[in-house]
Amino acid sequence: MLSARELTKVYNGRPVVYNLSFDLQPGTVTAFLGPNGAGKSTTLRMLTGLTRPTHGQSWFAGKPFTAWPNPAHVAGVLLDASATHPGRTGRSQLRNTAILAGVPTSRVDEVLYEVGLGDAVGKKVGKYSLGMRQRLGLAQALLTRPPVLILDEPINGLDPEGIRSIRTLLRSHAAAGGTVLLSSHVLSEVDQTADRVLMIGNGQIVADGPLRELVSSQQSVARGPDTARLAQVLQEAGIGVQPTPDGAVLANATPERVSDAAFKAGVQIHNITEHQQSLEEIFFRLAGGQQRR
Amino acid sequence: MNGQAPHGMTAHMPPTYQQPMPPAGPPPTQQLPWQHRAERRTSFLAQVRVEFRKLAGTISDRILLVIGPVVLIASSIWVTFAMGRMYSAADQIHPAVWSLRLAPIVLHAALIKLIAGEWQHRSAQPTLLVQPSRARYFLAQATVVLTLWVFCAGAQIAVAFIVTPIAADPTAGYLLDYRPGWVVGVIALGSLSAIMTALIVSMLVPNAAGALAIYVGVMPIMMILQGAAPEVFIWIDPLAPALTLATLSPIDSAAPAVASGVLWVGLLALSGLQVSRREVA
Repeated sequence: MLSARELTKVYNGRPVVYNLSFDLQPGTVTAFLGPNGAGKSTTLRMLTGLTRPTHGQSWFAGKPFTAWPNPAHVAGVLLDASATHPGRTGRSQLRNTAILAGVPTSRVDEVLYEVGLGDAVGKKVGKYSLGMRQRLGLAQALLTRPPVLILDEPINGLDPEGIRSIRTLLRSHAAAGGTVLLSSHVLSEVDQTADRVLMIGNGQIVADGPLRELVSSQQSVARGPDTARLAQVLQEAGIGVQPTPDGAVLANATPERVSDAAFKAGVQIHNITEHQQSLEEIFFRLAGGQQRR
Repeated sequence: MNGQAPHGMTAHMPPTYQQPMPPAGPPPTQQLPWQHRAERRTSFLAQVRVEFRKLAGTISDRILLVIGPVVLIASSIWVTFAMGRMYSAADQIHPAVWSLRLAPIVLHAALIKLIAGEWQHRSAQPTLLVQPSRARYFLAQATVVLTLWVFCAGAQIAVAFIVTPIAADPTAGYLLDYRPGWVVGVIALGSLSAIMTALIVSMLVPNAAGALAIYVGVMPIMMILQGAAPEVFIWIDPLAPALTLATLSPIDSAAPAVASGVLWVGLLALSGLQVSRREVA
């Protein structure tokens, strides 16, 4: 549904985004993760034609975004919630978009209510909070009911209820066959939403895969009545171990392997779980060590 | 483990580890409802309508659009009566030419707010995300500019034909009636030059307050220079073609009009180029 090949952007001789390629399938939510300055926004702007790539290309259902005569019906895009005229009202802003996209203006109030801005439609955007601006940007993205949603940090400034409703909305969009590309630098924002993670650091993709596999560490945390004996047995079985602050054993093996080793040695285990890395740990491991070119 | 993707992940460590990927496939053959909608371009008139809506999008815009015509007409009338003795045809068109620079300044301010404000507030971004063609965007704004020009020129032509006969010295008679085409030509050309100046400033300075300050500051400076060093200023005066046509140029030659025309058309082209290449933040 959305493909990018070798997307590269060079500013003043410095590559900000380098050789990015990926394909997004319908029915999925993909998180585009990276710290500030990693190149996420530049990539999204290249995808949507706001920034011309130095090299490479992208396609939405086989065509570049700008080659579609009415691209708002292909992708709803929220790049910067503050990119609106503060003196105009939310309704006026959205009506302009509706006219440009050829959508009946009756859809405007409908989508404003959908995102929870029903009470603020006549208020100037300058008086909106950041969360309300995010909702307005989201309303703009959803206005045409497009199959693709591209959202740059949409959860910024939202209250817990807003975050929850956006998560639900994105999941239901994907469940209905839509494609979502969601960028964020707050890793915990996407762990309940994304099926797949594209992790970007210094303009390059450093990891790409399902979230479940990304957080899988091939490590186990085991607890038992005698953790010292458990650690000894695991070491004898060739499994690296280290104690955890709460008195458990962190073993460099899958729970099955740890369980087998303990069973063979007759050591009791009360609890064993797979150790899941936090996204922060993964990110810093994969991207943190890279030198900026 | 450092620097490596976990088991099952595709590690991207460009350039050496990146897997070559096949080009994206062709579009699906069977059209879905969204594809049908995406293939239908919105009319240019809709885009122009949006630019007009933006022109009157804020309370301050609407105030300017209400006050602007009043200032335009009232100041044109005032200048016509204030000019005093008008014995020749050149004398009689002089008030109209004089007011070309200042009378439409409020309407020009609304225009500057529209164009420079779009870049200042980055509200060009949502527009270009829906209709990415910058040429269409530019043409839609140009249509607004031309409409305002037609209005300003029309109002000033009307003042010239209605008020000048009343203000003209009765002993000299009203002379503009003999050459209406010339009057329309001078005012239309001068009005176009004036509005183009506003357009150029608003395109070159992507900040409404800055562009307004420059425009409102430059206009009186131009008038001072016109009075202090007319033979020098005429070479860069955006109104030089209209002044030459009105036989009010301090230099009896078409050269200053050509030089000024080349300068301002060049600036217009430069500003257009800048807008076409400007990053939408």
